[in-house]
Order: sequence, then structure tokens, then C-alpha cells
Amino acid sequence: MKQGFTLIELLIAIILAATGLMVLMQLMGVAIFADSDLEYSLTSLNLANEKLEELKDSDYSSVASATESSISGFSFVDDRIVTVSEVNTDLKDVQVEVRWTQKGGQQSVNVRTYIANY
Amino acid sequence: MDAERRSTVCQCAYIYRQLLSHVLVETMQVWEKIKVTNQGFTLIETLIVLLLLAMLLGVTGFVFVVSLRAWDAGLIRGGIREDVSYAMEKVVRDLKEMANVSLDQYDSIAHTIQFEETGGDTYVLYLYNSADPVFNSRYNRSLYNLRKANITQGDDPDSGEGVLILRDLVSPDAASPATALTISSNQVTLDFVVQRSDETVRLRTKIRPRNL
Repeated sequence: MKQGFTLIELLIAIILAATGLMVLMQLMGVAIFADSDLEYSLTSLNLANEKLEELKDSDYSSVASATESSISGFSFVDDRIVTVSEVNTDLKDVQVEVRWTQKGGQQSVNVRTYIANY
Repeated sequence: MDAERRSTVCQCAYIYRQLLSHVLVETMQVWEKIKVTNQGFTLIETLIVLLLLAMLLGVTGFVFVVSLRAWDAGLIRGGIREDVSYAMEKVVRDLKEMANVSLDQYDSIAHTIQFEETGGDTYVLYLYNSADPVFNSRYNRSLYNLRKANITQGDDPDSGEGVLILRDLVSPDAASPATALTISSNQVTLDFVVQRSDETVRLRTKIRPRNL
């Protein structure tokens, strides 16, 4: 029997084609997102290093935990957190974390070093 | 032919004719049946399918074009990012090693960073645009190059000599032109903003030279 297609069959075919195309679009979106992800982490890493260098240049006594809620010129950044813990009287463990929001989740980069009182 | 045989042939022909007409009738009936079940599409059905297909292709095409544009922008940004992070790394490593880092006016060039290797050559980091008559780094021109001149070896920053580190730099702040290179107390601030065909990437960090 040569019946040809019914409307239903055609609609199913269209839905299948649409699903296929959607997967393709999704892939493209993932690639583009991965790209901007890389840029944000690169910029954040530099900003974290910036803070670390600032702390290295400041007085040993003024190296303390602090939080900046924004960084001017870098609006994507949520905050920059400095966490300081004293290892002994002349040595501080300093950790700088830069956080930002992407794809609905919180992303962050961390740099850590010791600063000595010399 | 005898009468018996003739009658047999006649009979056969009769049967054959009967059969043929039967088959013909049957065929016609089947054809009618096929015609009823195999209806094809009505105009409305065809229009609906065409409309749906057109909508699907239209949306897909639109999204595809937008994604391609984003892809192109991503490629440009990727290129800038690579250059900026390379330049940043290079300058940071240089400055970490150097002694006597100072924000200087070298000849007629304002806002340069002059630094000296411990017991070695003296270098100048400066922004350059050949169309700029006063050779300063206040971003009078749209795009500047960051260059590193070895003064001891005779590089002349006034004519743009030295190693190219980064190109297509613009001002970090369009409203109040600032420079990519600043020094406060012992810290050098590197604020690189690179622009290529509407895509801008900014990278900023500070560095405290270790040998000061």
C-alpha cells in the first residue's frame, strides 16, 4: 500500500528535526559560555594577584582579613575576600578569593601565600 | 476441430472472459478503495505543515546567525585575551626582577616606566602611537602600542624603537584618560585595556618589585 505521509507523521518528523537542531544550538551555546568562563577566571586571577601584591607592599600589621563587595571597572566581580590567619607572630597565611556569578552558580579563584614580618 | 473440442474452447473462452471481467471489476474496486484511503493532503494540512516548517527554519536560522556572530566575537576576544595575558605575564616577570623601578618622563614621553636590571641594562616601558606628535600616553589617539626599549643598547623610544609587547591599547577609563602604567609607593599598576573591532578586554594587576 502506498499511502504517503499523514499530517501526524510529518509533525513527528518536524519535532525530531527541531530536537536535533536544538542540540546543535545547545552545543554552540556551551562553547560560547566556556569561552567567557575562561575570560572571567583569567581576569579574576589577575585581580586576586593584585590584592596579594598590595598586601605584600603594606605594613605587616595592617595585613588583615577584609572583604571588598565590588571592584570598580570589573562589574562582573561579586566580591574579593582576604582571609588572614596568623601562623606565628611573624608569619601570616594570606588567602585572596575573587568570586563572580555565572550560569546561575558562584565561581571563584583563589591565590594563597605567606607574608613574613621582616 | 470436432464439436466436443470446440465446445471446450468456447467454454474456456467463456471462463477466461468471465475471469477477466471479474479481475477488472476487482481491480476497479481496489483502485476505488486505494483512492479513498490514500487521500493525500488537503490544502489546509499542507499550509499548516509549510507554516510550521517555515517557523522552525526561521527560528533556527535566526539563532544560528546570532550564534555565529557570538562565535566570531569569541574568536576576537580569545585572540585579545591571549595577547593581554602574555603581555601581563611578561611585564610582571620583568618588573619582579628589576631594581630601581620608577615612573619617569623619558625625553618627551610622559608616563613611562623606567627600570634597571641589577647591575645591567636600563629599560623603558612606554606607550607609542606614530601619529601622536607629543608621544605621551594620555591616549590622544585611539590605539597605542606598549613597547619595551633597551636604553643602554641605544633603542630610541621617540621613534618607537624597542620590542613590541602589546598592541591596540586604549585608555582604561574613557571619561578621564588614565594610563596603563602607574606607580604608587612601591607598587606598579598595570591596567591593560585592548580593543579590537568593538571587542574590549581589560586585565589589571599590581606588582611590587622584589628587589627594591
